[in-house]
Amino acid sequence: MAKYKQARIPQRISIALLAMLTSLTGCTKDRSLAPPANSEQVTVQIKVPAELKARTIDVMYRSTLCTFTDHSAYGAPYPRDGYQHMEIEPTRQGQSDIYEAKLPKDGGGACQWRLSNVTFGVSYREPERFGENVVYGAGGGVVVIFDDNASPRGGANIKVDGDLRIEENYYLWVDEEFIGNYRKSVNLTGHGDIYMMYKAPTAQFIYFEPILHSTYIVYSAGPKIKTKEAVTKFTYPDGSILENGDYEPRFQKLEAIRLAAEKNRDHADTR
Amino acid sequence: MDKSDRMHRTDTLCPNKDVLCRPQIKHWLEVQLVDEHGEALPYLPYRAQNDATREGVVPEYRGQTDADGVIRIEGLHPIPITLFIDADPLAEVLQTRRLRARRAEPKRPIIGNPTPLHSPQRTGYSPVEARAIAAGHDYHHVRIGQLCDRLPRLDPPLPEGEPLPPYHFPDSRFSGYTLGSEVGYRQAYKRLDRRHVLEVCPFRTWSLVLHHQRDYSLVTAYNLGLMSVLAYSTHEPGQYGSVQEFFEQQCLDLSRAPRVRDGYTNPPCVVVDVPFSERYTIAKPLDTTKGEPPEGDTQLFYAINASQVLVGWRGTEMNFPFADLATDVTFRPVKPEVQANCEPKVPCADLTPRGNVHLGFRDAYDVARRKFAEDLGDRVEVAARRRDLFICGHSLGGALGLIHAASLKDLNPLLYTYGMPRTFTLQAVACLDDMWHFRHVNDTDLIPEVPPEADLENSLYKLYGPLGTTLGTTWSVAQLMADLVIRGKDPFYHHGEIVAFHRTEQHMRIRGSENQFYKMREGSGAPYYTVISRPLPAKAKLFLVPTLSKEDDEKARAAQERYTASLSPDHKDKYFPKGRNVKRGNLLGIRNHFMGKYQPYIYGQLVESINPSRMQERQNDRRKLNDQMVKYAELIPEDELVRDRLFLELQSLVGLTLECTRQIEGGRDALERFEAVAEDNLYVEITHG
Repeated sequence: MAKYKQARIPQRISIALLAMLTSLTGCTKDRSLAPPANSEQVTVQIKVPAELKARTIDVMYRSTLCTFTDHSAYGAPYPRDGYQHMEIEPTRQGQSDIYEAKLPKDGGGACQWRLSNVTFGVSYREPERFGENVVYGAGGGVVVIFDDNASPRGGANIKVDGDLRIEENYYLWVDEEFIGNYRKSVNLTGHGDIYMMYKAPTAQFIYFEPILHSTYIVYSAGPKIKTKEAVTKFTYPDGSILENGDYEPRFQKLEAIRLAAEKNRDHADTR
Repeated sequence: MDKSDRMHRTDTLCPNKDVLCRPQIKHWLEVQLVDEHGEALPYLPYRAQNDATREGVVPEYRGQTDADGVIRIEGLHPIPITLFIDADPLAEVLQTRRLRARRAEPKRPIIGNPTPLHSPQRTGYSPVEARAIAAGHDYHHVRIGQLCDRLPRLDPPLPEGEPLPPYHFPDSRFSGYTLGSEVGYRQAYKRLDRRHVLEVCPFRTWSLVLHHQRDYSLVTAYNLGLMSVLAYSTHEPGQYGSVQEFFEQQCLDLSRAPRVRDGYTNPPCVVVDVPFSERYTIAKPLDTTKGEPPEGDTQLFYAINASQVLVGWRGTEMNFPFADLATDVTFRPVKPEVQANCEPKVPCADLTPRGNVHLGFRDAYDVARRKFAEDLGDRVEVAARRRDLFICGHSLGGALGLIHAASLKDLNPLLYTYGMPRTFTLQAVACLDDMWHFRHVNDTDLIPEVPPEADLENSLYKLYGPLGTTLGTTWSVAQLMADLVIRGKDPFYHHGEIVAFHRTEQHMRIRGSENQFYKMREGSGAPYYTVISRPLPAKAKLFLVPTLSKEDDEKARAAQERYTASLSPDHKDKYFPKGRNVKRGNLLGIRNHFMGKYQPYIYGQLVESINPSRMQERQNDRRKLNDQMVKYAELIPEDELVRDRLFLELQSLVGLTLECTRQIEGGRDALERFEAVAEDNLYVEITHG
C-alpha cells in the first residue's frame, strides 16, 4: 500500500502540471501559418548544373503580433517577435535545369506572419565519386533576409535594392581529415562564405546560378596530430602547394589558376 | 584712391597690368611619421599633391621617408598639400607596431548624440603629442586609411562587396591626408614652414586574451564569461550588441576596448592587439529556430581568428523556479552514442566509451549539430586543427558546451562553464578525465544541483515506461525539492575542476549558561545542553580555485610559503569532493544562477587582482573575516577555522593566475588598458545572499 502511494504522488503532480501547461497553451492565438491565396510572392529560381542538386528551401516567418518572452543572460525577461519556419522542396521546371519555389510574403494567420528570410542553395550530387564513405561537406548556400531580423545564421553585410541575381563561380574542394575520426568530404568553394548572406528587403525575384568549374579541384589533407604548427596541406589544381595555416582554400587563387588556364587554352586555340 | 598714383589704376579698357613685385614666396614642409610609441616609420614611399601639381605647374612630389620617418618638401606654393603613402609598405610596417596601453577611449555615442563613432583623438592622451607640441611641431593622430593611396593587399582579404572597416579606413575613396585643409584656402601657408608630426595608429586588431592551458586563468574566466553572455545576444544583426557587430566591428575598432552589451553595464573585454591580418575573420551567430523556447531552440556562436576558435553556447530559459526548464529538466540519461560528431554514413566512435548523457541536453545539442553541420562539423573542426579551441557557456549552454567539447576531445578543447547542470553520468565523466574544464559555481546556485545525483534511469523511468521523459520530469523535480537521493549504479556527475564562489560564514560556540546545573552535565555525553552556536557578523564571498593549491608555479609556491597552512590532499577531497559541488544548492539559490551573479564577481576579482588598491569593499570583507578568525579563534569550531584559513589562502592565490597573462606579448598592456577602462562601480557586487 505504502509503495502504491509513493508512486501516485508524483503522478498526481505531473498530471496537475500537464493540465496547467495545456490550459496555458490553449489560451494563446492560433499560431499556424495560413498564407492567403492572393499573397504577394517572392520567386526563388535556382539553375542547377548536372553535378549539383538543389537543397531543401528553409523559409522563416516572423510576427510582431505573436511574441514570446525570452530571457537575457541576467534572467531579465523581454519580448521577442514570434517565428515559424517551413521547408519547401523547389520544383523542377519541366525538363530544364531550373528549380523554382514561390514564397508567399504574407504568411497570414491570426499572427499575420511576414516573410523574414530564406535559406536555399546547392550541394554536390555525388560525393561517392571521390570514394566510398565520402560525404558532402559545406558550401553553396545562400541566405536572403527580407527584414531587419537575423536569419538562423545571423545577419547580412551586403544590402541589395530590388531583385537579386547571383551568379557565382564554384570550385570543388576535397578535404581529408585525420584527427579524431577519419573523414573525407567534398565541398564547394565560392567567393563568399559557406552561405552567402544578402539583405534584400524589396526583392520579388531571386535568381541563383552556381557555375561549377568541376575540372578545377583543390585537394587538402589535414594534420595527423594537433599542434600549433599543424598545417593543412592544400594542393591546388595547378599543382602548387600551400601549407600556411589556411583552413579553407583561397578562392582568388583558384580564380587566377582557372583564368590563366583558360587564357592559355584560348591562345592555343587561336594558333 | 590717390589720383596722382598713375602706376596703379583699375581699368576695364586695359585689363592687363604689369604688377611689379618680388617672386612669390615658396614654402617648405616637414612631415614626420611615427607610431604610437613615437618610433619612426622609415623608408616609406610617398606622393604629395596640391593644386599646383594637379594643374601641371610643378611635377608631383615623390620620395620616401628617411630613417627618422621624415619627409621634407621645399618650394611649395602656399596652398593645401595632400600626402599619400604607398599602401602596402605602410600596412606592412604598421601591422608590426604595437598599440599604446592607455588610449583615449571616447565614450560610445548613445542614441540621439550626433557625435560620430570615430572622431579625431582627444588631446592629452598621447606622449607623442606632448613631445611634438613641446618641440614646436604640429601634431595629428591619423589612421592608415587616411594616409594610404589605396586599400593595402590583405591576407586574408576583406570580404568583397562589404563596407570597409570604418576605424582603419574612414575614407573609402582614399583621398590622402591634406595638411592645411582645416584653415581657409589662402591661409594654408600658416600650416607650412613647419614640421607636422603624424602619429599613425598601428594597423592592428583586438584579440580576446584567452590562455589555452591546463591551469586556471582569471582573465580567461572573465572573457569567456562575457562570451557566455554574448551567446544570449538577440540584438539585430549590425546593431551594437550583436555577435557579428562584436567581432566584425568592435574588434576592428581600436578607439575603444570591445564591450559586450549586456543591457546594463556593457563591461569591457580584456583584449590584446594583434596584426590586422590575424583578425577575427569569421563570426557567426547560429540559431536553430526549431521552435520557440522552450521547445528545443538552441543558440550558439563561433568566431575564428588566426590563433583561436571560440564557441559560445547559450543557456535556455532559467526562469524562477522551474516553469521554463523544459529542456533542462528532461532528466533521462541516455547512451551518448554520438551522431554528435559524424555524418550518418561514416562509422564513428561514441562520445564516450561508457556511461550516459542527459537526453534533453543531447537532443538540444543534436538539433544544432545537425542543422549547422557545415559550421560545427566542417569549419570549426577543421579550423581547430591548429588553433586553440575554446568553448564556453552558461547554464544549459555549459551542458551543451561540455557535450560539444566531448565530441571534439581529440582537438584538446578548453572549456569554461558557469552554473552548468550535471550532464554526463559518472562512467562517462570518467572517460573524459583528461579534458580541460573549469566549472564555475556561484555559492548555492541550484542548477549545478540538477539533475540529482542519482541513477534515475534505473530507479525511476522503468516505473513510467515510454512516458518517463515527460512525466518523470515532474517526479525528478519533486525529488529535487525533497532532496531524496536514489541509490543507483551510474548517477549523473559533474565534469571538470570546480571554481567556487563561496560565501563564507562563521559560527562560534559558547557555553549556553554559566549555571551550575548545566555545567554539571558537561562530559555526560549531552553537549547540546551546554553549548550553543551563534553566527558571527563578518561574512565574505571567496573566489576558490582548488587546483591552484597544486600549482607548482614559481610564484605560487613563493606565495604559498608565506602561509603555514596548505591544502593537503586530505583537505582537498574533504572540501572539494571531485565531481561534486562545494555547497548544496537550494531553491533560493536559483537567484545565484544568472550570469548577472557570476560576471560581477569575476569582474571584481579581476580588477582587484590587477590593482589591489581598488575594489576595497570586497577586500575589507575578507579582512574582517580574517580579524574575526583571530578574535574568536578559541570559539570557532576547529573544523571551520581550518577550512576558512585554507579558503582565505586559496583566495589569495587567485591573483597569481594573472601571471600567465603578463607573460604573453602585450599582456601587461592588456591588463593596464582594461584597468584604465574598468569602473569601480560598474556592478553592485552582492556578497551577502
